[in-house]
This record gives sequence, structure tokens and C-alpha cells, in this order.
Amino acid sequence: MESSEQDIVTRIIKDATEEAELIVKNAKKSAELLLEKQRQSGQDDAQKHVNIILKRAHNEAEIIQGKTNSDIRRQASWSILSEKNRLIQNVIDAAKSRLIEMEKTSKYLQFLEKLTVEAGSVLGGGNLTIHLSEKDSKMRLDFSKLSKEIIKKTGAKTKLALSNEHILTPGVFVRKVEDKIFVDNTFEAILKRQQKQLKPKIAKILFATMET
Amino acid sequence: MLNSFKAVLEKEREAENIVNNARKKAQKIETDVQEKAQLVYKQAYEETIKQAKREAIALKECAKKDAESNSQRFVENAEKMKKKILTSAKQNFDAAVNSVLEEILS
Repeated sequence: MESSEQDIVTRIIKDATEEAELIVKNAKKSAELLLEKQRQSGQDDAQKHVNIILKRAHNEAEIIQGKTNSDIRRQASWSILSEKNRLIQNVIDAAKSRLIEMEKTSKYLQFLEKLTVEAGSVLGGGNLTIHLSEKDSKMRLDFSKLSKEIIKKTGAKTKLALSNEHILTPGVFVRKVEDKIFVDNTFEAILKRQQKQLKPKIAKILFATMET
Repeated sequence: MLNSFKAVLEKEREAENIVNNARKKAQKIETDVQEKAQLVYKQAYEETIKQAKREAIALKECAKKDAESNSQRFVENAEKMKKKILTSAKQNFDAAVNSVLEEILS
């Protein structure tokens, strides 16, 4: 083969190879573009859904924030309130102990009589049975004097009788025989009855020196 | 001369084959990419949603942590308040007990 013919043959193969490479290169490029376009399209189409998800998350985050805030504030307030109640209850318990201690003093008989008259008056007089603790039963309550005081307060004929049934705590339990009604003036019952009105008063005194 | 002509003809056929093969390869690339395109779309869509969900969870966790951190001062104030309450109660304990007794005995 002559040199010029050889050049033509070489040229034919070289051109074909270059054309082939270009065809494949273009196909690959188109493929990459198509994939990129699809990727972008997928992201764009998802964006609407993404906006909904994030908007909902923002709303929920606000709710969580509000709820967490109010939960913590409520817990903090509750712990203060609980501490106050504990201290108020301590005062009531101490008062109860002091009342029980009073049993040993001379003032006790006087107080017991006062409680009896009070109870008898509330019951409107009549035939009243007086229940005392076993120990208090041995004290000499002047029933005659007490009856007169109740009559003076109620205007009703009154007779007091000591019951054989004993109560377990200091104070007095008075029962009206006719109506089967009673007044419980034991220390425990008095404190329990008055707790609701005592608590604010105790709080006022107990926390008076608190800095605000 | 004839031999030269034959040689050129043969190379032209060879060249034609090279180009045809390239076209077939390009055709295959095109077919394959059509199949892959749907998958790529689906993956991109799902990954975007997943990412948003991750962001949403992080956002809510962050909000909770922020709120807890901000509310910490309420807890601290409550503790201070409890100490004051306790101090005041110790100072006024006897007066409060006496007040209760007075109320009951009077």
C-alpha cells in the first residue's frame, strides 16, 4: 500500500473512532442531565410536602414550648403550695399536742365545762348524755351548774348525765337522748371542723415576715 | 489499484461497525437511564421528605430543651421562695400555734 492510501485508511478509522466516542459521550451526558433533572424534580415535588411537615413541626414546637413552660411553672407553684401546707399542718399538729398537754393543767376542767355548755346549747338543751375519756370521767364536772348555763342560753329544760361509754380523746361528746343528735367537741373534732377557717389565719401569721 | 480500493472499502466497513456499535451503546445508555430516572426521582423525593422529618424532630426537641432551660429560673425562684417560707415559718411558728389555741379556747 502506498503512503497516501495508508493515510486514507488510517483517517477513516480515526474519524469513525472519534465519531463513536462522541456518540457515547453525548449519550452519557444526556443520561446525566436526565438523572439530574429527575433528582431536581423529585426534590421540587417533595417540597410541598416538606413545607407542610415543617409548618406542622413549628406549630407542635410552639405547643410543646407552651406546655413545657406551664408544666414547670405549675410544678414550681405546686411545690411552694405543698411546702406551705406542710408547715401549716405542723402548726395544727403542734396545737393539737398543746391541747392534749392542757389535760394536765388546771385550766382543762374549765375548758371541758365550756365545751360541754357550748355543745349542750347547740343541741338546744334537753336530756343530754356527756361522754368523756375514761380519765376525764374521774374529774368532777359540775353538771348542775352546767345545766343552768345551758338553760340560760337555750331556755329549754336541761338535764345532764355522764355516760358509761368513754371516748378515746380529750374533749367532750354530747348526745341528745330524744333526737339522737350529738355534738362532737373532742379536740380532734374541733380542730378538724375549724381547719378550713384556721388555715388562712395560720398562713397569715406563719408567712408574715416573708420577703416578697 | 483494485487492492487499494478493497482495502479502503474494508476499512470503511470497519469504521461503519465502530460507529454502529457506538450507537448501540448510546441506545443502551438511553434505555438504562430511562429505567433509572424513575428510581432517582423516587429516591430524591423520599430523601427530601426524610430530611424534613428529621428536621421536624430536631425542631421539636430543640423547642422542648429551650423551654426547659427558660423555665429553669421558675424552679430556682421556687426553691428560693421555699427557703424564705421555711425561715418565716420558723420565726412565727409559736405565734401561729398560740393563735390556733386562742381561737379554739376562746
